[in-house]
Amino acid sequence: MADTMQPPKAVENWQQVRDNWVAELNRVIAEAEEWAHQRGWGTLRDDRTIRENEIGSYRVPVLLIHTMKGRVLITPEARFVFGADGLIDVSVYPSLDTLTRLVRTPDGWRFTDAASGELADPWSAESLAETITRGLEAQ
Amino acid sequence: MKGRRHERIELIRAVEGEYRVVALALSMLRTRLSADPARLKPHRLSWGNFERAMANLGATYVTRMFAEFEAGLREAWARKYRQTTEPRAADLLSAFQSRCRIPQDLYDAVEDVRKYRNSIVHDQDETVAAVPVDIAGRHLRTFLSRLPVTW
Repeated sequence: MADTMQPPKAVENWQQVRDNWVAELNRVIAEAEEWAHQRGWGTLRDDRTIRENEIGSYRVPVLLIHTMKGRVLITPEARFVFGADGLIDVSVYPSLDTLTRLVRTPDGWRFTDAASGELADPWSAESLAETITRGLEAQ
Repeated sequence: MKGRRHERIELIRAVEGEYRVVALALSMLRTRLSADPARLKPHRLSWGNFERAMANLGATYVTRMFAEFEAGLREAWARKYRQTTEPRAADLLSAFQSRCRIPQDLYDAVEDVRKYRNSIVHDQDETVAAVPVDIAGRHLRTFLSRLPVTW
């Protein structure tokens, strides 16, 4: 359930910004889910509550992907972050070792290098599969 | 993804996040102080204070992470395994190693973190190797990830 109370540092049209953000996360998670299924990987959905001073409290989907090499958790982290318009964490489950972070840029979602934070491949079925496979093999 | 294990692992990761922010802030402060060494004076702080903050940063956060880790183990010890004893941290690690089939190399890595934590808070034993925050965090989280899902 999303907050109706004005958050402490509400941005203009904060409810609209929040709703758009949640819709975008649902789209990304649904894509990841579909791409995982295309590879024969299992998935499990959960949700979590995020609170941000700019857009209040809201619930977002979390996706667990099961592969033969291990499991990966895709967790939305925040809409308001420095240098991007959104952040999603991709980590090994259950140790939560970060494999990569997805950031939303004006050109769409991009993977980042886990060590340097530099922008890497754009969000796609191939780059997601490669990130997961390479990351789990390195564990 | 619900369960105390996940929550405990997230708490350790949150401390790692705090460390990264403070490390970045100190790095930015160093740049400022290089340009203006007198910047700390109005706060009655010296370059030495800054150097100490830099030198002890990793140790401070490893100590906090280990505290979260140990609290998680003790909570599971009491709730999941119904134990009323309060073993030393070293014994607690051994107990979980056998109960949760923790691989020896992971156990050894966490032992290294524990010894480093002890050297910081107890005896300042300089023969113990420092464990970087990111390495310590990974080992502690991986150890916890071998515990039951919830307790």
